[in-house]
Amino acid sequence: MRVETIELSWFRGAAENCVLTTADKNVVIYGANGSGKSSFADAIEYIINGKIEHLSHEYSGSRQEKGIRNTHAPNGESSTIKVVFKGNAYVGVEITPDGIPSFQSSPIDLIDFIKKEWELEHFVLRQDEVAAFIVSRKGDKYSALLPLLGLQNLEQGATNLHNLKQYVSERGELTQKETKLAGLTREANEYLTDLSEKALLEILTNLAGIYVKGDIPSAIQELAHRLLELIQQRITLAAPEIKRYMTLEQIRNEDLASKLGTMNKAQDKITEQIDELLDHKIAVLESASDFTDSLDSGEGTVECPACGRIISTSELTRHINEQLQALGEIRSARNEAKETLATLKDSIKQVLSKIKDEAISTWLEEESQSELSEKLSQIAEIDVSKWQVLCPHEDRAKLNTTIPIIVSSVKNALDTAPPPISKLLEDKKTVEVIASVSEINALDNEVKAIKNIIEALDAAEFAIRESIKSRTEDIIRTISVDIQFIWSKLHPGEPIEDVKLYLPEDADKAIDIGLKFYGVEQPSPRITLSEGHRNSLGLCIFLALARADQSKDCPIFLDDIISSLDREHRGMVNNVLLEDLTNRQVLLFTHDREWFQELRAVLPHSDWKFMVLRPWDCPAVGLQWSDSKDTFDDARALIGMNDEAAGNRVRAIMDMQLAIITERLRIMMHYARGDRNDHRTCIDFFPRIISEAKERLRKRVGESWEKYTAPISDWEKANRLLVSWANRSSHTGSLVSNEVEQLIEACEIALAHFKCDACGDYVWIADLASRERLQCSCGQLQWRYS
Amino acid sequence: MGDKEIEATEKKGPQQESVGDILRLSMKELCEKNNESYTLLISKADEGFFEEHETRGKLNALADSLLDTLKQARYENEG
Repeated sequence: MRVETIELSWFRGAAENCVLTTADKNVVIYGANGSGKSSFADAIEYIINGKIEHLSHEYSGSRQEKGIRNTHAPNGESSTIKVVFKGNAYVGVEITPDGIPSFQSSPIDLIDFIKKEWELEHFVLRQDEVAAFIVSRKGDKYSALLPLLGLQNLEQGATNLHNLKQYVSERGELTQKETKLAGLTREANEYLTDLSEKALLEILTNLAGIYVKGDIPSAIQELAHRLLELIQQRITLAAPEIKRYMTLEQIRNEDLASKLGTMNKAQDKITEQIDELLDHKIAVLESASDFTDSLDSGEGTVECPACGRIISTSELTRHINEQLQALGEIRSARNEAKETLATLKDSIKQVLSKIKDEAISTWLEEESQSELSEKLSQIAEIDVSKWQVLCPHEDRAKLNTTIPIIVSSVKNALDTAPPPISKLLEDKKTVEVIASVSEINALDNEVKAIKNIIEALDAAEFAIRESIKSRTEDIIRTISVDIQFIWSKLHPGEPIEDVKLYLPEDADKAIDIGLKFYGVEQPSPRITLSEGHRNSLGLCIFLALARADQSKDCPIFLDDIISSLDREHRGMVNNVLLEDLTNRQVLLFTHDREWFQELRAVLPHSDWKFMVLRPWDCPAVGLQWSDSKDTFDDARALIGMNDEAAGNRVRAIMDMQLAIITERLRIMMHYARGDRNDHRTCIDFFPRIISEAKERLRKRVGESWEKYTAPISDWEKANRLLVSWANRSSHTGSLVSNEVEQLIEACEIALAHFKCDACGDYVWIADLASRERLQCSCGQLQWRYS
Repeated sequence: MGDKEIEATEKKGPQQESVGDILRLSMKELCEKNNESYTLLISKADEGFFEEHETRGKLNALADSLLDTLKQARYENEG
């Protein structure tokens, strides 16, 4: 699609109705800084994106209405953009004063097509964006190239599959199920050594022998379910029974039999010794009486009450001590009897207290426990509170007949007690674990099935990414060839080579730029390249991408892209424009006057149109086109304000123009050493041009070419004025306005003579291989060397 | 989805493969283990489902459908 016109009204630098007309050619537009030339690139960006990136800041307004609209637009007047294409299709937008856009197009879907299909970054390059691609991150490079790679559908597919994987995992509760499965499996492995069906059935069958009466189900789940029911019933019912047996155990622990035996022994012992104690007491008393008598009678012997021997009074003490010792032993026995009696008494009390518990009392009422109940009743009849030291004989007799029976009955009852509660709980757990094995299997199958889906999605995503990678490699290989080609044109013979795009190994969705710097591989141009080279590389990549994107067929906008290039490399860009962008319409904007003139000298006017913007006046006037392509309006703008500066400007323009012309016409100049060669001026060039033109400049007359001397006088006039007035303006500063105007007019006329009246091209445009002559496109004007 | 379709896809060059084609070739294992899930994914791919940005809601719905195929398979096995 080729642009015919771009019409702006109160948009950015444009006042009312500013039109750029391409005449279906490529266009080079010169405009000094601030002349408003970027308004056209802004217009294209607004059409595509509905906004302008460099106006995205807080001061532009929420809809960028403060930046988009010409500051001097009449109140209520909308801003408009209209881009008309060859064939009269157009896209346009009307923007209200408060920034609300209304897009139109003909055909009606063209605006949507352009918005969707035209990637701004691939056909509009601005000064500050030249190196943006190079300095961007490798992920951003990938994103920038993705539309060009034509792989958005695959990229989206991979992204959707990636997300779907996560959602399947979330919705399927995979993590929770895996955790539950791990827990159940761990528990099963702790409880069961063998998880085979046979082993599990064997365990259940053994337990069924304890708990199940009647038929035993053969299926594991059914048997486990039945066992759980029965065990739970037993646990529920066992509570009071357990309590009873716990109490019986406590009764057993009272060890009545042992305590009875001990008590009996102690009682027996003390009974003998108490009889002896009484005899001893009497004998001691008698002896004491006798002793008293004998002491009074003076006799030295007494009869020992213990043994009957007659002993001397001196031996009496010894005898008394012996008897006292015997009495002490009796006293110990007495104490022991007292203690054992007390111990037994306490135990009996405990037992009688425990049998009052409901769990025991109810049980004792059973017929089977009638004997035990009777014996316990007999003991209960004993009044143990009267026991002190001796147990009454009838009580001892009763104890000796009842306690053995009580102890025996308790022992028998405990021997036939049901499994303790801990065993019930253990059995229950075992059955539950066995029952869970089937759940484990089912859960395991479910987890595996979900994982199968996730693994399949993962494999698909991987395959898509591999496909993207493979296709990307192919595409960027092609683009890299172009980058290298254009780079070699811009930088012939320089030791920076093998420039290419590549896919970094360590990242997905990433592209980076590699090159060789003096033979050393560099993974990024940011490591070694200067700013100028980076900008140049950025330009190469942009142009290579533009060439790669031929299918889009949209024009290319280059807005002040050579600012950081030196003159030599700038000249190389001319060749690229001339030779390598022939399939696309190019609209090139520059503030570099010299380059503009170079392009005018190089690019054929049959394909290229050159336009000049006047220096900026004010927003109300806006963008203005100059009639002069030689940029003398820059000088005219200074007339009246600063005539000397105007004169200097004219001089500068002519210095540049004639330098180009001298180069193009291969005018022979005398040798000048060093910098003097580069500092030649129009005053150096013009006389030589004029001198050679007298011989070489030819114009077609009929079938032959004759010397064309008509321009000579104009050139000589211009040269004279340059020598006198231009020099005066720079050296003495005394030029006046009308002199400047005359100087400009003379120079414009002089320069015009280098172009053919018929085709409009410069005389050197067709540099024929024979090197015998130069000529314009149509051949009417020639510069002959022989 | 049969071997014929997979075979036809394999004959295409890698530069011509669509998302559906790649799914067919990469999910053969799922085709054998869970044909219903596989069929569902392939049909979605052939509709162009995956090639556009899909909302979380739509992807969740597809995830639920895939999980439903597992339930269906379990019921059939238990039956």
